[in-house]
Amino acid sequence: MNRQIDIEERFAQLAREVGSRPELAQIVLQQADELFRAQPAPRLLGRVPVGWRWASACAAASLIGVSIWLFWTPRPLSAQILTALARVETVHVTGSTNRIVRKWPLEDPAGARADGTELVPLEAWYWTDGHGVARSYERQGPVTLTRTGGEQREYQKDVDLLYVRQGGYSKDRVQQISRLAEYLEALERPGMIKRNLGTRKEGDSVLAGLELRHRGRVQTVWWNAETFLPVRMSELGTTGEGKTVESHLAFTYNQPVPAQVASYQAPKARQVRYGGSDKASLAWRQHVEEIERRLAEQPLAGRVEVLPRKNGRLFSISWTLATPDGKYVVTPLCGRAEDLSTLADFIRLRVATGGPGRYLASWRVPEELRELTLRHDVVYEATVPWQEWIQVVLGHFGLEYVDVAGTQTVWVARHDEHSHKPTGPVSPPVPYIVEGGIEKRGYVKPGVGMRLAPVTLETLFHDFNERQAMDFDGDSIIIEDQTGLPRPPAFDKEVHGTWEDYWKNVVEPKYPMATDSPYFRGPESLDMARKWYHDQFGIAFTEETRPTTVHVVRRKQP
Amino acid sequence: MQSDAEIVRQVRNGNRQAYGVLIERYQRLVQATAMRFTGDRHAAEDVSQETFIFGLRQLGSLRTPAKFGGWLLAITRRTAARSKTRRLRAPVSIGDPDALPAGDGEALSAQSQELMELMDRLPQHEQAVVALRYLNGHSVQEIADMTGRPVGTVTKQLSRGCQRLRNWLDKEDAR
Repeated sequence: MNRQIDIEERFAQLAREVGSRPELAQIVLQQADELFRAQPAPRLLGRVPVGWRWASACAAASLIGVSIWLFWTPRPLSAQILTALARVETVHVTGSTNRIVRKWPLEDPAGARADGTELVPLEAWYWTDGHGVARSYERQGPVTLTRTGGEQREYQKDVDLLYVRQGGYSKDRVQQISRLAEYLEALERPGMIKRNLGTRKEGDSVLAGLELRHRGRVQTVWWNAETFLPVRMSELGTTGEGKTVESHLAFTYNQPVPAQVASYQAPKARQVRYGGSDKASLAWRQHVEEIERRLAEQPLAGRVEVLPRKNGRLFSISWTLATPDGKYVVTPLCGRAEDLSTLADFIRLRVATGGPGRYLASWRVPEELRELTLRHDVVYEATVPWQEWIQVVLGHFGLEYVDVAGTQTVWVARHDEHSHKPTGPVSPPVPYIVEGGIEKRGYVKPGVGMRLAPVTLETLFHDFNERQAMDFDGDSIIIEDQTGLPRPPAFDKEVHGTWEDYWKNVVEPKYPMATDSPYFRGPESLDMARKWYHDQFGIAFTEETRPTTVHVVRRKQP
Repeated sequence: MQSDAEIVRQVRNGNRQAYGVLIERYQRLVQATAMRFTGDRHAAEDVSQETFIFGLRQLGSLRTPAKFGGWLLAITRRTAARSKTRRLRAPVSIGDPDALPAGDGEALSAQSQELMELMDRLPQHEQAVVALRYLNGHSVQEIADMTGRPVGTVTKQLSRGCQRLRNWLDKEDAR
């Protein structure tokens, strides 16, 4: 882009995204009234009960009878129309427009000629399905957008692109009619020249009309004078850049939603883009898909390859993930930040995952190599064993690992059923540190919780093994679980609902767990760990020394 | 059209309903600023609401009523920062060691986020004027009335604000 940047267009887009809340003044004044009544003229405001939602606001307004809004100013037309729309079962919009709204902007504007140049048909449906989920279907020429609760899927046929936005909040039916909302907002916009078009009879209905003129655009809205439901809307004019704007919409209500609309599924697209509040994880998925596209054009030379990140990009969340076609696996070599992107972090987080032969305790990494910074991904065929791909990773940096014989101290964990504390979370042995009579919360020392989240027995053992092995000397203690205690099912959002519900309803009542994972690192924490596991879970450890294989990382030998 | 300063005085004199005009006037800018900081529509709506209530309660401490817009923006930023801190302190899932708590609402597009970040670089008086013009669609005369500044001053501030934004956008795009 150059100096032709159109500030007005950028702000118009921002305004659409921000939206408006005509009832905000009413809510604020009502809350302020309540606060002033409850606490006469305090100097500072306490915690305000915020968390506004449309429905509760409307309910509150109706409860107070003559609302401040009505007292303060005549009720705006847009509010009456929106209220009327909230009462209908379904909304059907048909018409045409030359302004195709794309949630995902065109990456190559030359690729879609229809945008802004010709009238395209428009059809939209808004309804609530049998499960109470707000849904919509909007088709504008080549662009079809569906919403199911908080999920949006926009398929752009002309560029064969699917945009998926997940994790958004579920708009109600009225808020979903974004194009209509734009018109309605204009009704109250200052600087608008309004002309009353009077009333006219159409069939059995009496329609009232209003014409709005603003910056070279003429908008006309006709609504049912009795029900306040919009019947027709149109817009004609030019933008500040001289582009023609033309839209014609007609509304009908309470019609059954056609089966092909209700069951519409966006087709599989050549390109997929993600967005939304869960964009941290979606960004990583998108990155993996980009790697897949790159590999389609330029396949791997062998079975494994290390790919540098473009501009050294870091992701808030990244994990080992297969490409969508299932041919390759992508493992990130770096974490979310610089200080989590060292060779030591890579081995700890991605290689030593705790499975057979993959304990962190089996790795010996010289101190001078641990801080090597990585900004890469490793891509490998799904059948490649971990020993092979990690050797390629190390080789990329002039390193290698060799296996040597060693010994491992193993704590075999067994459960004493007599002292079993079957249910209910237990706390770490040290709630917080006290030094000089002062509580020092947030500091971690042996026995203090380090995750700030509840954990299962499996995680407790994993954390113990990992913390003991953080010196990367290849001879630390590991716990081997032979307790036979039950393990909870893995968290499944579809089955368990929220993460909090999962802990409260599934894990806490039936499985051993702790409110946090104690920090057990170094020899000085071992006695404390033994006592804690025994007292809290009825678990005792038998120490064994076993022969093992130690993976030693070193500079590549010639 | 009444100026911000006149409305502030009315509210201070007991006409609390007049504050509604200021809410209408600044709600888009406050919401956009809150969305920029929180990255989440739900959280931003709460921040907006909290900001306006706090503003009403603290109106007595506003020394220069004509600077209401800038003062309100400062409250918005502080409220949004507090809100974000509260969210970040929420317990972290152990499912992934890199996991961070995420919001549950919509965020601004990258383009709008960039625009709001650049808006934040503008002097406060220019921010309010640019937002009233381009976010709310007020005419220059209306903005002059609202802010109590001469039309010529508003025109200059608008022109300078837009020029700065264009230059910064050019530089960002040239990267």
